[in-house]
Amino acid sequence: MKAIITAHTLVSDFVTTLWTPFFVALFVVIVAYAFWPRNRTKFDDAAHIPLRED
Amino acid sequence: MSDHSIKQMTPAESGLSILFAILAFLSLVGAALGKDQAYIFHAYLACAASVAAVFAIGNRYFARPAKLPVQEIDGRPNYNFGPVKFATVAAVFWGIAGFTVGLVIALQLAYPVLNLDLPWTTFGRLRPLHTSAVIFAFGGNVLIATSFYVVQRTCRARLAGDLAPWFVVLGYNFFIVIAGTGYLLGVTQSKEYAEPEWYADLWLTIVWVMYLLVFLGTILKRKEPHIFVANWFYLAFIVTIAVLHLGNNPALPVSILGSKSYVAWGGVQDAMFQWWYGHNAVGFFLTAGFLAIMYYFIPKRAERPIYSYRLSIIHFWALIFLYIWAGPHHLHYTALPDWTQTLGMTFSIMLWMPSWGGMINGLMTLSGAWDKLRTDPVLRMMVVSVAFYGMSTFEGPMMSIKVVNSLSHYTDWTIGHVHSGALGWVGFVSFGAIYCLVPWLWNRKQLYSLRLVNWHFWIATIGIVLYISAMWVSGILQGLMWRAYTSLGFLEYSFIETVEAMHPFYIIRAAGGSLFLVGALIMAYNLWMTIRVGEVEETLPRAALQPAE
Repeated sequence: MKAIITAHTLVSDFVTTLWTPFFVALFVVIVAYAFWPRNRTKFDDAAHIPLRED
Repeated sequence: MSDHSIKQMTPAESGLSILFAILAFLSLVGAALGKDQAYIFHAYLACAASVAAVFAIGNRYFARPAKLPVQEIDGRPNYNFGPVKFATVAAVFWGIAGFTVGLVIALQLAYPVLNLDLPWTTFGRLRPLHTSAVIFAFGGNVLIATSFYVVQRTCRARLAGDLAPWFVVLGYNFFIVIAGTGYLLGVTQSKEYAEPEWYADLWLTIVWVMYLLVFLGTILKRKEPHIFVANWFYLAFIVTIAVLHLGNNPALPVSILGSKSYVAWGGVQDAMFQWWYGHNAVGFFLTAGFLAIMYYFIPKRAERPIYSYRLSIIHFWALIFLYIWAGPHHLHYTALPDWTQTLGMTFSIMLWMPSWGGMINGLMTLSGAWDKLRTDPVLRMMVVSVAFYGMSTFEGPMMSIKVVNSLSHYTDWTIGHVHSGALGWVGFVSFGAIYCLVPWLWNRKQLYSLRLVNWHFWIATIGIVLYISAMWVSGILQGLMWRAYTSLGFLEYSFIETVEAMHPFYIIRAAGGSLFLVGALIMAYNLWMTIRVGEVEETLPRAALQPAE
């Protein structure tokens, strides 16, 4: 019983402490992905998708 | 490829027929044993709808050729626009119904005698009918229609499933009928924007999961390698609404044969869940879904690419990360812990950035095509909708600040704010999308009359301005009167005095609402004439329509 509570508190402490930096880091990665120079042509091309049709 | 293959029912056709037959029988039992009138009425409705579904599936089977529709014809996708057409027509119908009920309750507030002293027509029952009709019936059908259209076009793939898209469209509209008639009969679980009772909630869950599967299935078989940003917004809308619906609605029915249920948790937990749900219904239903419309229909109509696709990626993720935390601003100065209120306020203020980033992206898509605003009233409608989006997403965070909220909360200011978003943003972007969709879906060269679109635009715009300015004045007046003290420390005004002071603004609001309704009626006439007498487009409708004659 005690072990379960400890495991739960461990996970709970971990999640409640680290979700903010985790999400901030994730967001930074997304921003980097969006502005990565090599992705530029790919995204400029994607902006035209509505205008290309079959 | 053999045309003489033996015609057989698909597993979906036979399976659904059997399921609906069983459902028809069960609802008949429910109707016989039901404990309250509304439940019995809904059981009969479900029985009739199930029988109709069995017949519809059967008739469709006998009418169709042995082979199911192919995915592609001559290398081009064989798009499935039948369900899109149905949802478009349903959106126009529910829109007019919802605006009319809104006008009725606006008049009831100005002239209470219009309650008619009947239980079914009291404000308390008609108000959820209005909100659900405009948000879920009108807005929901617009979202289903446009999402099924856009996902096919931008993935260059036929909609997934054969019966499934029809199940989504018809099943969703059946949910609307159950919810709406339930309100009139007094069935409600008293949660704002989540009033339908447990059996309606269960049915919506099934329909919504199918919606997600059809949408995902179409994305999975796409020919276009990149998933276009509008589909990201639609997907976020569908997934989050599923989560919100399941989170806010766990309830225990008093009896499986009655309409009444009790929510799983009570008190402040229930309040927090309710407004986590409520505000994200705004964030993901009324914002993310309609931003998807913006990202497809504005570039399409303006014939310009998205101003910055990279900004759209950041717009998407910032909105997703922030919106989900803003709910507590609906519960300022309540039993909710203070830190939670402050958290909600902080995230609401941060939402300024993605909202305005998105607005700038939508508006700047017109760069190089600004002249079209003068000649194309449909494009003008969508651009003005984005401007209203910017305005109401400025106002919202401001109202979430606690000191501002202490004046604005529970007053008409909130109603004004909601309607600048609902009429200006959601309404106008939907009208713009419908004006684009109808000629595309029915193969018409152009709309019946752009002059009538122009009339719709101006009449509705004046209506919105009347509505929101009346509510600003009324709301701030109301808030100030409530907090006015005399020199001896007594409240200066009795409640009834504040009600009396608001009367003229209620009349102006009703006038604004009636103008908005007149605009929608003009639209319905214009669309009807487009379908009936519009010139047929010879080739497949590809490019946007000519802006003007």
